[in-house]
Amino acid sequence: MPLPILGALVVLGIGGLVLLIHLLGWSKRPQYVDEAAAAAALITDYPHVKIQQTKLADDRRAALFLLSTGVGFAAPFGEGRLTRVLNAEDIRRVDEGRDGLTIKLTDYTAPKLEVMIADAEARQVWAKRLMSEGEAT
Amino acid sequence: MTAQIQFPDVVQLAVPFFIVALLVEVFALRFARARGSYETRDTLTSLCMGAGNVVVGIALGFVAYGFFQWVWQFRVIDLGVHWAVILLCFVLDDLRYYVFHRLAHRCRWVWASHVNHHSSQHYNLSTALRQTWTGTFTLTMVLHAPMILLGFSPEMVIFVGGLNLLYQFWIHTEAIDRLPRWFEAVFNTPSHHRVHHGRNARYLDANYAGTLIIWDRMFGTFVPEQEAEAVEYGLVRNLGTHNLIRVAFHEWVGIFRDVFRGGISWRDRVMYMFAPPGWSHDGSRDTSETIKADYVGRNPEAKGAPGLPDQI
Repeated sequence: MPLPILGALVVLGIGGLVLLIHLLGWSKRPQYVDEAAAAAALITDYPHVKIQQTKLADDRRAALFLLSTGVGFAAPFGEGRLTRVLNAEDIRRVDEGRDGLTIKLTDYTAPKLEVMIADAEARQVWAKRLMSEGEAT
Repeated sequence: MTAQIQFPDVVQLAVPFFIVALLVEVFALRFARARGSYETRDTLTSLCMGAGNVVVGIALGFVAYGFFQWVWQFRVIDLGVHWAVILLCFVLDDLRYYVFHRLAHRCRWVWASHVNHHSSQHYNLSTALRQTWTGTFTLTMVLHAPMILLGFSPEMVIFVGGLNLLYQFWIHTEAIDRLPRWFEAVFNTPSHHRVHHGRNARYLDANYAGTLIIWDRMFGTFVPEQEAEAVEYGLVRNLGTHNLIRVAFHEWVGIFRDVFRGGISWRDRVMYMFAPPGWSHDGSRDTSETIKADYVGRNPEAKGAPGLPDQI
């Protein structure tokens, strides 16, 4: 197949298919129904963790967990999920914004996590927990 | 004789078919309630990985082709071109694919390339196109050498390899449940390959087949899809990004970080490159074996079930 035709097919094919999939409603970001659903996601991937406290993000698109050691994170990722247990060496920085936390990780496969927490007090508590290696404050 | 035969590049020719098949699956999922799902960014990532694979193939294809031509000069005989030779070549190449694929899951150096094909948490026809950009660096092209030495021409070996990849395209779907028993017994099918893409403990390191599932049955790596346990797709430790560079190179970055860390022996450095994925010098990470053992420890009733050990 001539290269220009192959190139055009690939570019138009990708663009057309992705646009179609978006128009058919498959761009929606899933949410957790409740804290238990978020906790179930974490426990499926980390069956040995002990959850002491759960904080569901305001938009229900992420959750933080206080664990016996470290802080847990879970978020829907397409039809699947992203889960991590975070310890001191995993966290590069925690940025506190007006609406929530941005957690920068050393993990090349998940460099940035976002959790919407509008309540300033709760946000500060979780930021502190993340920065102090997940110890309860 | 073989030099006069022009074998087509079947994968490039199939691009229009890939697009039409994806359209059919998308509409079947949306309007005919077929099983399966798509997600926009996941699909974009998969398709871009596929396009990148084609570009890399055009740019670096000469490496494998040059190697094949070099090996060809040492062939025992020239088997020529005949339909029976092509058929035999296809079957033997399918065995070669099984060996390659098993290596790709059991040796981190090859897994680093293959992992991106497994990095989607969706299982649809776009997942089939989520292909590696770094296959050339694994040097697994050497696995083709025995067939070329036996007398199958490089062009024929490349052609049947393309047919094999083409076959594997349609099995990346949830929309097709089970096929007739005789077909499931001999051929790789959507059901068998769903298992291969599973991250459930019981489905890890199973069903490496390309076209013929008989290799898994022969070598003890076959695990049937269980009605009682739906397949969860993706990696044991899933990606949290759609960034193409991170998807394509993340395991290579992981190898680099591990190999150049301080305080470990030279043996450990070599093991970080070539041992099974999840191996670590201090045992702090999980391999397929530890994941399966842990699962059986928590679910003793599952001991000895397909894909799971009968003792811990």
